Amino acid sequence: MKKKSWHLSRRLFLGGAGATIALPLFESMIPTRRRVARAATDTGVRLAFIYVPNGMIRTNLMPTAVGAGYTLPSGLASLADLQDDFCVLSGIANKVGGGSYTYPDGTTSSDGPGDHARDTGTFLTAARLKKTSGDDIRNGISVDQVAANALREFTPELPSIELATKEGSYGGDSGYAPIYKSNISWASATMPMPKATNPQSVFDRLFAGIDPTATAMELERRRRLDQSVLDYCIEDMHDLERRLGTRDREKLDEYLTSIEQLEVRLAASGGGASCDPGTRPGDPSDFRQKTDIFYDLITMAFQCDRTRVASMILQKDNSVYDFVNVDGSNISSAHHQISHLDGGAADARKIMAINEWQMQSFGSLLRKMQAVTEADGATLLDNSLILFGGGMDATGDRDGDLISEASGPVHRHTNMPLFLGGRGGGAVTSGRHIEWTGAEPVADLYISMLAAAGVDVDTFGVEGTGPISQLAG
Amino acid sequence: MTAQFVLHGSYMETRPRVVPPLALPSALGLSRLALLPWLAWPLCLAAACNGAIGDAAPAGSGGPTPIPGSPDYCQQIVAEPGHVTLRRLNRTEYNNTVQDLLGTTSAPADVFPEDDESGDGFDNNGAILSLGDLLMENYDAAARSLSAEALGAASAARGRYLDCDAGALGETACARDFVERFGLRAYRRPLDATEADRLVALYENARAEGESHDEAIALTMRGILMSPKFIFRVEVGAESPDVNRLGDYELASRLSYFLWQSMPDEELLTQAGAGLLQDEEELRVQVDRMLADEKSDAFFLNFAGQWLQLRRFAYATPNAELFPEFDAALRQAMTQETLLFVRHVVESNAPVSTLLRADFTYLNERLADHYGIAGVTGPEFRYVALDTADRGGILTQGSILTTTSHPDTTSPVRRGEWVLDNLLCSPPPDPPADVDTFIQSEENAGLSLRAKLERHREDPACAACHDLMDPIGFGMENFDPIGRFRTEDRDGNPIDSSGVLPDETSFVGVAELSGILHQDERYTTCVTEKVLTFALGRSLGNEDRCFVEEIVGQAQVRDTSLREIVTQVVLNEVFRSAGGREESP
Repeated sequence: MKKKSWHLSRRLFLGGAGATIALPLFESMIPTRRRVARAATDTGVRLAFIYVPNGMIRTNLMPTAVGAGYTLPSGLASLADLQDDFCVLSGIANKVGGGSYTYPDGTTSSDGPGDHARDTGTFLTAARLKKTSGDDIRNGISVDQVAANALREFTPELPSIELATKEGSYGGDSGYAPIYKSNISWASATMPMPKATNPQSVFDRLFAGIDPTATAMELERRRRLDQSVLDYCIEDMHDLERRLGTRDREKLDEYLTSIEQLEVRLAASGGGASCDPGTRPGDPSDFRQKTDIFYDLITMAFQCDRTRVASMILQKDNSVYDFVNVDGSNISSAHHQISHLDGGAADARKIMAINEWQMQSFGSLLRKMQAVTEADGATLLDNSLILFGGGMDATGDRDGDLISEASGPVHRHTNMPLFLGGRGGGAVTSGRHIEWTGAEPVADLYISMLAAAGVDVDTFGVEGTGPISQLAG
Repeated sequence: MTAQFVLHGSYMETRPRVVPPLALPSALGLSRLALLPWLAWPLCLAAACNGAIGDAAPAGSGGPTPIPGSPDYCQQIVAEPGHVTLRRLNRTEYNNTVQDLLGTTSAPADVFPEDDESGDGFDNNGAILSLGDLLMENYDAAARSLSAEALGAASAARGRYLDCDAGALGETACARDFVERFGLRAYRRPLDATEADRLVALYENARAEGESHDEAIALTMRGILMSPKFIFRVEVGAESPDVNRLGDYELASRLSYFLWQSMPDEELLTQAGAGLLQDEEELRVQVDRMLADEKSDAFFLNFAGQWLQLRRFAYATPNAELFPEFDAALRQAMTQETLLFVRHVVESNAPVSTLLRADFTYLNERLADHYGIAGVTGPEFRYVALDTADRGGILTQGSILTTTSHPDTTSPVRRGEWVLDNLLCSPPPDPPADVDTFIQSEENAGLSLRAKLERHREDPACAACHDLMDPIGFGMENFDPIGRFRTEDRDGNPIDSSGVLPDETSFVGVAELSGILHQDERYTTCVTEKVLTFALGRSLGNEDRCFVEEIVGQAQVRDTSLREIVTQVVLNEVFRSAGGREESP
């Protein structure tokens, strides 16, 4: 079987320019990785994005004071030991999440209802979703995939991982196709990254070992055989390419890209994990236990440098998960249903209890990463940035007793509930409540997070024009 | 070919009370619609949810542009069958296919990542189904384990594809024999000479690398199972004279993935090879045969299961304190009832209206007890004749009633929306942005749900759409959030299940409501639309409305059974066409 050389370089092209292909408007976004002299102990910055659905009520989560040394609000009480290791972010907006918006070029969108679809779909893309309930979907590339494309040289086998705790679609949203509401990580305008939901499969994918009994020569022979299969598939693909039209070839392109990634993976197999990942986890049905196992896996993946980018959907928007006993009482209500606070104070209390659990879970992830000491003497948490939160401020105005910030409807895409864990290798001065005024675009935050990981982009999404202020302190 | 279309009908054409015609569009933030004649606005508003108006650019030179949705649209255009984007097998199809192909009982796709569903609610849409690194790794792992299993001494696959006597014929000849027999089924068409040679070369390379004959066959099988020609359903059209027509084998695959969600069987491949599937009578015979085969369970599970949102029912969460009796067994029983019921309607050639009005259902003891129906004992499901007008038809089935309820209360709004969307394909417009949907305020305390909703509809902006939804939902109010019949709500308010539709038609209870709905011209059209969407694996565009009309018309010539609709979908040009293929560069 002859080896085709052209398709090897193709990955580089796609990897670097995927954003351009997907979004011709944003050509300046082609990421470049800074080439700087790196010490042997330089471990690189790892990025994780954890998405919370259905919005959060900020009332008990927001410190009253800005800056360092703030008094912990009740909703963050569980993070007392971590106060120096994360930032509370206030005043960040994702305007494309809202229904009406004037773009920088002066054009106006009025996309109407569909806050849940936009909440999820735009969370990491900061791009405008094409409003369609058909199959002509369009989003933008997400920040984690920009990072994965640029950092893949460090972890070529696994540029990124995408996790979700549950399967199941809750349907579309007000004229938006369900796919928007199910995916935060987008490889291109039309292709969300498939998500792993089984912790055991994720463990195997990260840490599948080598056959210890095989000789190097035998391993090499197996690689050649594997390669012959892939070469055959690529030839078959070229047969089709010649006979199919444009739209079909987009699908073939997805096929080729993933075959090439498999090629990289198979070629590298046998490298083995450089650290001990521990025992293979279970697959508990309980959502909260599963969340914790996924946090272990993200931590180990970063620790062992199996990947440098992770995204995770805690739950999908419109999730009707019933957080029974999350606050010691029986909530026994569907999460989405109560998030609209139609039940007034009672619903607000339940949502706040759910939010408190979510913040505990954030703390649990940070502690796992804090417990890992890296080659440079810093903790894994120091060398990472963990963005945790959602796209909607669910602070309502219907219950004066509980909600002090009485303004606007429950699903706003301004003042996003966001928490940034870690120091990003020194790019972020943690331990502060940072406040921006004037609806600072979340896309600028993403530009800064990418920069912390050594990935330079000039623009991102619809609104991102440069790094966000204040992160360095 | 992207936008959905919305058919007009009696409700939508009726001017709502209260709202002045031009004020309403702007109240809904849809000012451009104010430019359209006011009589057209209800249609346009509905279309606004789907982006239909103005999306289409139908061919035509000069003269007024045909307007999608207008009554004579299909007389003004020559509808072109659309192209189905290269469609990978979804999880269900992958499992069924490898089971039929290899005789395995394993279901490798169970661990594949979830398939996204399209806005139409189906998970077999070619444009929506994408590939990715993780899925490709899964394909690789599945191909390795399936091929290893197939080469096992007593496997079904060995008997089917590997009975060649290598001692007598030679190993390479047997490899070629395997490649041609297995390839025909895996690629769902005969291999051409180049393809067969390429696979034999793959086999020979493995032999040269020191693999045994069996190991090299297994590796060749891996190649086939990883090939895009297996993973995707390739439709390039007939070679000649008409590339828009599907090839014989491509049509066999459309049939089998429509009615079985699996690969064609030997008979379909044989008929395709003989060119017989282009014959309409033969297609009828095949549809009947395929529906009679137990493999058509997949059709009911996946088509009906997704159309009627039984999959979403799996995530419905009735409040555990209020409804402690709602457990996994009851949920399973409700799902089973709906599936068996739909299957019966198809198998018995009953009119499609039977879905809405029936004097029978399928129950086991658990579900019968739940419904308060006596005389059903044991866990097995059986046909049960109903002697009451209170039950019968899908609107009285626990699955749908629970899915469309809130965890603690019924939702006439959601139930009405469900009917409009899924049975009439006339989804109501979205609520305007910034509208207050809050009905549980203190001033409403103590009012019945109906009274709260009626109060809500005093606001003209709300009334415009809720006049469409709420009355339908009121008709179903005799069923509580988990589908039990009731005559008063939890607070002791008597249930009032009367409703008045926007065209002033009034009714009391679900039996009368179903009677009105099944006579609505949109109903049969809507069912047809759903079947066609599932059959094609793409969203329907404006021009597809014309094919739907054609199918409905043909079905009505006979008996308008759901079975006839399925058959007419298969016989229609839109199903048998590869669609307008763009030129390759």
